[in-house]
Amino acid sequence: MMWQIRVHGRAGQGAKTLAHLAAQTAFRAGWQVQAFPEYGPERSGAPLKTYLRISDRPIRIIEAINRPDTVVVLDRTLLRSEAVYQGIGAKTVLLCDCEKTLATKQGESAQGLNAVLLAKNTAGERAVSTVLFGALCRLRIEILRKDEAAHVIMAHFSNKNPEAQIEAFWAGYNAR
Amino acid sequence: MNKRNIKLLTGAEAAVEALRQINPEVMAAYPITPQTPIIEGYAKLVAARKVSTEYLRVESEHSALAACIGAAASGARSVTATASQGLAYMNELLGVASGMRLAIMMNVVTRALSAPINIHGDHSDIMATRDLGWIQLFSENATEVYENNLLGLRLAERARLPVMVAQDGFITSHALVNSKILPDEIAREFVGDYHPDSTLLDWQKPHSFGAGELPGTFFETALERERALNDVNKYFNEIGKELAHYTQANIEAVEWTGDPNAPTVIVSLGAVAGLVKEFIENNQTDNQIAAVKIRQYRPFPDRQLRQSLGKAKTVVTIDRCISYGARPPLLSDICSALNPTPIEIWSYVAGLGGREMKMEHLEHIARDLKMGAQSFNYFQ
Repeated sequence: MMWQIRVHGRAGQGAKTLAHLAAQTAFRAGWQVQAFPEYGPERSGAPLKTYLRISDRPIRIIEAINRPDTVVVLDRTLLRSEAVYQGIGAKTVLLCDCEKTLATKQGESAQGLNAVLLAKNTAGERAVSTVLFGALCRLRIEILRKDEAAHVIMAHFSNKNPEAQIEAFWAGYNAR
Repeated sequence: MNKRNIKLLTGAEAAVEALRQINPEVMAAYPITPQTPIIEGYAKLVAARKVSTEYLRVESEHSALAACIGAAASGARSVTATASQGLAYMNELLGVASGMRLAIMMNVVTRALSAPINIHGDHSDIMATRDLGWIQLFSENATEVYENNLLGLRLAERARLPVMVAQDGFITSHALVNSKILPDEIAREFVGDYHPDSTLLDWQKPHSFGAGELPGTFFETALERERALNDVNKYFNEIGKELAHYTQANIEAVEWTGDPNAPTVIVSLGAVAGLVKEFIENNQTDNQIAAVKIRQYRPFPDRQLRQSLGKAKTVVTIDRCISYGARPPLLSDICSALNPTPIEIWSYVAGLGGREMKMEHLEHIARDLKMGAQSFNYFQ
């Protein structure tokens, strides 16, 4: 079993944080994980990708995720970018910050949730990645367990109002 | 007795974890990508007083190694870390450290050399320093970065030679993976205290360090260094076994994966070796291909390689470096270790400047082997 997740965002939006939160959550439940960002020149707002693999055995491949099972898109303007659709197949789930109507245009397996709005209503606009982390956990509840996720969020945001982040998480988790 | 704790760490964090347990007396460093998370992580430990190391934030890599040389000569356990241009900038002092027989430990987060400027990983930086008298250990993953730091320090102090612990820039240094770490008390017991035989500050037994030597003795001193480095082959077995007792995992200078009678063996270093192992263990290679990972690259384990590769029909090397105007380093070393030999030796070069290294590249090698001819040399 290997779950391959690719996260697209803009530098500063928390793509790396999302991958790390998910990695910690899976790790706590005993899974093997590998999380790494794609590095390039550091410019706020520039499109970037982070990768996350979760498996039941040690992960030794070192290439980027070119055939993702799940693609998470933090910024709806990136839905115009070809990179988001690279290597996706019929079974790939596209999880994005957009309305359901826009999501269906991207294909049958696209799941849209208005993550920006949900974030604004909870921990603030910058918590889009936490909202989408909630939605990601909902996809495979046996791997990304909600109790572990809550624990990881509390630890990660320990001095940055973690309760609000937990709210953002649940907003994403329950969005459907 | 498997006492290892599993932690989620990057390769850089694994190095920091080992350094925290070692708690060296001196760390001197200058930041450079992709080494920065190591010295940043360690600086935080110093600031939080989790370690008692004197941390010298010097003005260049040249000064970092100069400070380590001074500190090590004075009898202090001394460490540094660097990459790429930083390692190149230290070059002038690398031979001084080994020639003065100082047990300095340096984490090298391997990265391409300029120009063109490129922050990503390959082995050009460390390969350019391979013949300067340092012990060189390559790490397949974060767990090995951790182990190689503990092991490297012991080897260095035993042989009285400096050691580089290499990890692949970004692929290993920045990827968060499940890593196996020993408890503090066990790591500290393994590392022990450091009591060098002779130091610059020993007033009872005064010694000269870094004296000039003329043609009458220089040759002999050079041969002493050469013998001391070759003795590391012996120490690796001994101290590696000691560490393996705690980690409950094999720690070998030359590691074999796959069918012992496979006619083809792929030889590689560092993170690529992990990819090759994955390929051998999880693909249908019909026991035709095995893998050798070289963990101890300097001293080059000639004898062990002759033994393990002796029965092969074809040996394939994968380098992450070009030797401009000559054959790549690993290939050259393998050729000279096996010489004279009827074995056919093929060479591929991969991953220059951070170029992706994929499973399909290994499938391509397997196809080449079936066809009996190399269709390309570079995994571009």
